[in-house]
Amino acid sequence: MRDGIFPLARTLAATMVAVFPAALFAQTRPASDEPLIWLEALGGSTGEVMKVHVVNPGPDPIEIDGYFALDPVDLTPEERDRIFESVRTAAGNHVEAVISFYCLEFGAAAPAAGVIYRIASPTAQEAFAPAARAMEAARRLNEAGLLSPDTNPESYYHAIRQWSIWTLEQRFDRAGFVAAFVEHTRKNAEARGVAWTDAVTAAVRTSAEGRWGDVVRILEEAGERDGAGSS
Amino acid sequence: MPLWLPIALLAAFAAPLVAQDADSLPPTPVDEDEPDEEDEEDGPNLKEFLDAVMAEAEAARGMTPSEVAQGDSAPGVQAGGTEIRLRVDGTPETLVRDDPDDQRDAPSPPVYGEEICPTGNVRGQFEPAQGVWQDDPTFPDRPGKQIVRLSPVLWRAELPMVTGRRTLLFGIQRAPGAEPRRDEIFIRGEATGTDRIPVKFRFTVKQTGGQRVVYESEIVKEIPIGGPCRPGAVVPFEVPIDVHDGVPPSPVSFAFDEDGEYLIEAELVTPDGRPTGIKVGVLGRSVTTYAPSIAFRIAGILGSTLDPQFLPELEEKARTVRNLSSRRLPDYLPVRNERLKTRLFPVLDRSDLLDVFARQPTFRELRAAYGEGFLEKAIREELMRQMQVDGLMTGYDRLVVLMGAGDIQLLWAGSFHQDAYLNAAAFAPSQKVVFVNLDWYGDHLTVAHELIHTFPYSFASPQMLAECGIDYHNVATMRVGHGHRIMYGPDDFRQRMDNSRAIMGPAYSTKWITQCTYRHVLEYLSRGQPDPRVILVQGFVGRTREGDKGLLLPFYDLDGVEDLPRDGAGGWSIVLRDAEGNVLARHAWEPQWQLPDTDVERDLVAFAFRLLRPQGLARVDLEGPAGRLASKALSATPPEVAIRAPAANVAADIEGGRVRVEWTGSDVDGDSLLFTVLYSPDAGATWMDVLFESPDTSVLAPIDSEAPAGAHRVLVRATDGSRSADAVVEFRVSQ
Repeated sequence: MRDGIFPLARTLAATMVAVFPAALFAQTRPASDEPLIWLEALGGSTGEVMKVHVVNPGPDPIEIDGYFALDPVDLTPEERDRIFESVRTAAGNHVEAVISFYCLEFGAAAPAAGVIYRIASPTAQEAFAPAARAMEAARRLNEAGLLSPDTNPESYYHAIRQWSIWTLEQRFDRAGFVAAFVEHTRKNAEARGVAWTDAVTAAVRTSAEGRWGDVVRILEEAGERDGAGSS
Repeated sequence: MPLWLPIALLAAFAAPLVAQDADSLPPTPVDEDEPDEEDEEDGPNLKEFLDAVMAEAEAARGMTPSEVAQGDSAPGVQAGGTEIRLRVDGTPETLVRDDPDDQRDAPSPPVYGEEICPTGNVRGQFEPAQGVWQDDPTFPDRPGKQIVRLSPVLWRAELPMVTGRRTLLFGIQRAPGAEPRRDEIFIRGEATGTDRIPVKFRFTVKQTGGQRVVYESEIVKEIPIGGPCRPGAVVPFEVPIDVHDGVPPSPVSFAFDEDGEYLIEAELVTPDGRPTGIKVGVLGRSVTTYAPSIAFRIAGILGSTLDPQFLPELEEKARTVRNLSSRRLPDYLPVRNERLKTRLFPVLDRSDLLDVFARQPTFRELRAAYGEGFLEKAIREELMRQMQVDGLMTGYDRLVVLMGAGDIQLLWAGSFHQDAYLNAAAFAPSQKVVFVNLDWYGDHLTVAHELIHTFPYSFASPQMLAECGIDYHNVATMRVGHGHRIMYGPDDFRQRMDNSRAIMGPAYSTKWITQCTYRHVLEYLSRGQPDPRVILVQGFVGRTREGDKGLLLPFYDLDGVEDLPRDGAGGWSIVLRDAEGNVLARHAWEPQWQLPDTDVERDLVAFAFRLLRPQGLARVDLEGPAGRLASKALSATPPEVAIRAPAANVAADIEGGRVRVEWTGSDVDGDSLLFTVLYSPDAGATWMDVLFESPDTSVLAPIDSEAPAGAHRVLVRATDGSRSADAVVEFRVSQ
């Protein structure tokens, strides 16, 4: 056992700001001993469909704990593979994890596998703040058991977060939400070749009504009640 | 409608899975709302939250690789939001770094601490290869010729390895659960250490008889497995090693020492050799195969072959084919990387076949029945028959008959005409004999092609289809040979052979054996010698008032089949032992003390069994129910025997329908010899006893006056009591 390299107090005292003093001003190419972050879409829909790979070459730990607006980057597959190889082989401790991802634009396609993202500009982060508050509110409500899943709880959790973001973006009211939810589900079902019947429409509509309640609850918790429109 | 359907639909389709019409639903800016009093008091502190979001985002942006940070936004791709909660431990200060000025670039301590931190989710992959891949890219996986993932860290290689054959390790290209990485062996996992420790690969082969390290690489990488451990901080790692030319690297290879199950482990070890426990393995089975012995013989019928002007050139070619076959065929065939046992016999002149059949009544009758062209067929079949018998008598497993183009044309096309269609470099008419055209692609690869047809006879298109689903026999367009050649010889040479023409394809200079053929031949040769050497053990067993008795009489060395299987049941046994007295085989039986269908009780029973002759046989014991009754050690050297008369291939004098046979015998061990003489009227297809185990050295042998002139044979077999030797002569009779 080797002792004394990372005293416990020192590790616990580390905060984002403390460990990233240089990074706060670094907007260009990081030096070889600076941390690296790699964000890559895994090709699924809402939820845990993004890979993050972080390299920490410094002696102190890094803790990342927050919400981020992401911007897709136009890279060829060759560029992507080359850059990731440099990340993968960079000196330092490597951690890779799967994280949740949500679309900010209702109606746009989910990213394909292999699309690379970066942390978006400060302007985008500012615009993203209401959505981040909604995500945080959903997390708190979910942990408190105050959401009402009508399907697999984990899938529901990600879906209700996603619809909360879209509700903010689209300023849905109750009727608009239900109509959008039903239409969205219908398109996805038909794209998979599933027959869309009146019975299915009715069931999905019932579900949408129930979910609207959770969306409102989340937006209220987030302080975004006005964005939710009237219920 | 069942309830589950809408719920399933919701789960599957309520998420943004497919592209939609973005124009119909333009994004709307979100208005910021100022938090009200209630939010300030009971809800989150929004200003603080926003500040935190901005600060963390700003910091994270600084971690973006420059090319990603400076790249253009991807048009038409969804912007997104994410939540990241991640902790990444720091890099230990002892990590060796590239920057010499960095204070953390202190040399690694020569001895690392005791603690190797726990790892998880370990996986990796590799496979052993002796020429062809377990996971061939052409032939579909089937039981017995595939590699199967048993777990993330354990594979089962189903294509057996050959004991004693050179072996290399490669990555896996195509198998369920594998990553396509032929040229890399890798181990990856998740570590919980804080100290990055250099590691190298150690490959160990484990078999019943023990284990040995077959290769240890240089340091490959540093991975965070050193303490202090942080179970909550999981760090992924991957350690690859380049194996494009296989490991161990040239000029070293390894071989499996014994038959049976094996386990090859690839483990990451520290520079001082301490195991880390991070390892993956491959299970499999190693088997001994029998390397066939091959006799080569130029045979001529037409003057074009036997003409002194051309014969020396054919003989030179024959020597080349024999040498290359002996040295190079072990590269292709699933046998030990040792020279094949070969021999070049003297030229056989069978020009007599051109007139033999015209004189024989039997053939005349057949000729009338067959009509035009029978003479050519008769010549062909008679030569094939003779060669097959010669092959059996010589003790070689296969006989390769080398011929000039004219003779091959006669045999193959059945015509003397020069323009007769001929499209064969060689052919295999029987299990024992193949014919090769020395004038056209008569090389060692052609020999290999024909021999494979006889392993067993006949492996060709239907068998390929049945065993592998693809018929590649003589198909020029198929490049279905894949693998890595490990050449036998004083200099190590290895070569990737992917996408090569097949040995069983048409005649080309560059070819490789396919996985399908290799596996087929391996299965055949692992059964043992095609026509195994046997030892004929004979004698008596008896029951007397003094107890059980046994007597062993002269042994003979023969080719043939086994009469008495090993490990059978019975109170009496023939035990085959090596020089140290170790049991090589035990053949048990129960004598027939009462003759079947009679009331006759016997107290003396003769026996004679042909038994598979194991390598290293030095002594034969006869054991009764109470123990050993007789024992005979094999002599150090077999006897020698030579026939003095009749002379080979000349007309012999006939005395009253008999030919005088004279011979000499000798034995360097000084043992007394007994001789057995046999006569054949049909070129050895059948034999007749003339003399049985006699010390005489001459005898008058009756002959068949109607036998074809070239079909008379005499065989003299000498035994020194435990080993035997044969001499055969072909002779003619004067009319």
